[in-house]
Amino acid sequence: MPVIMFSLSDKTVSYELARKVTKEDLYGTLKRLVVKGDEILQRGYLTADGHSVPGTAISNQRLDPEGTPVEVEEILYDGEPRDPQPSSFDEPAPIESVALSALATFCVSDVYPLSGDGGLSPGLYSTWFSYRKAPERKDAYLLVKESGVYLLIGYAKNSPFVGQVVPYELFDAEETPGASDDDEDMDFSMM
Amino acid sequence: MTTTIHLEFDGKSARVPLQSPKRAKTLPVVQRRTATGAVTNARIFNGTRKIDISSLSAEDLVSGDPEIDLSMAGIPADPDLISTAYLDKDGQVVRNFEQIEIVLAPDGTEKERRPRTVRAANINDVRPVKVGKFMPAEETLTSFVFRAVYQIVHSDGLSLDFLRGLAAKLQTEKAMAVLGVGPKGNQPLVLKENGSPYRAFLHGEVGEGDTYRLLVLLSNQELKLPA
Repeated sequence: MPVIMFSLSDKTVSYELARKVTKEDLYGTLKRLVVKGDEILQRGYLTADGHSVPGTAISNQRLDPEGTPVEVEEILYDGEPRDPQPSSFDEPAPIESVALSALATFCVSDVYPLSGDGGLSPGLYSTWFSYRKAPERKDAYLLVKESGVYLLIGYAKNSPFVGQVVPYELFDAEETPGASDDDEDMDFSMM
Repeated sequence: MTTTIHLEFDGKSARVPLQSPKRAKTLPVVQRRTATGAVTNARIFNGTRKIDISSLSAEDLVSGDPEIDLSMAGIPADPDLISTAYLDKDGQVVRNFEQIEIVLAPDGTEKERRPRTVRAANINDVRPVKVGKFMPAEETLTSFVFRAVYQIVHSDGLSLDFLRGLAAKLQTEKAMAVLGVGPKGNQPLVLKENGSPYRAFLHGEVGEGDTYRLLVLLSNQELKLPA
């Protein structure tokens, strides 16, 4: 397992990063099939001239303005090129102790269990995570519990206190709650 | 866009807006370009022929290109001119088909086979979302993986009092409340038509003056290791 390092004040601690834990690992998977009788049908497309083509017959492609497939491209972030930064395995990420309530405004996309005795006190620590060398790093929390240590990757939301006047400008006007749902199932035995 | 949640607590109910707070950090605007200009994404026919690959032998592949159909290769796939279809093993469009779901256990064994479930949104129904059992806030925050965070806000003075009172109670008791729908208030929340079901928890705090913050946290996973 790869070793991930964190720095707290002048101390460096390390843990081994285990495989990501997903809800499928805990509760199983839902597989959707389209069938006719006993035959499993494949997803495909019907073209305007009446041809049927398999789903694999259409690919996503990056094109330049002349319509040529792009092999090498330059990526700009806010109009500027950025150099890749070292991954979490190449550079200790600084951590800072924060209140557990910070988890109430944090949307988690990935969960990695950590093993080993890093010697950190139970609590929540803010940090960053980058599995590979990349220009962008993801926000993360390191949660140290008596029962185990977890690295939670995701992003924080900026939820304001509201009073008589609701500051609607602080909410996302374009995102409908639930819009990012991917229509999947879960096992309710989790509760 | 605003969604409405019909919330019940302590014998009172209200239909109030459910908002999506903005991200704490704004995402950078990412542009991709080459020397000739900006890069765009396009869907293109790639020339894959509808063929059962398992029927091909090594000799077939050496002597020709039976898996490639160059007649359409490179043509842009205009989404207005193609439609999704389901095809049989001969590549023919099938019209009367069934959609089924197979539930697999974590070890891959089949647990259940059923017709596809279509879920209706249930947070703004005749039956309100019930504020249920209170659980210790710290234990709840560290026991579940929260995938999304939404915020309930008031729409008038009455709902301000209702929501602030609920937030104050949660803060005083250092608790989070389980939210549920259905006759017993124990069913998961579905926020949009045909959306995913989530277990939901309510986190409340009060601030200075008459301010409050009431968050709905959605989870579909416990924070634990697989068995």
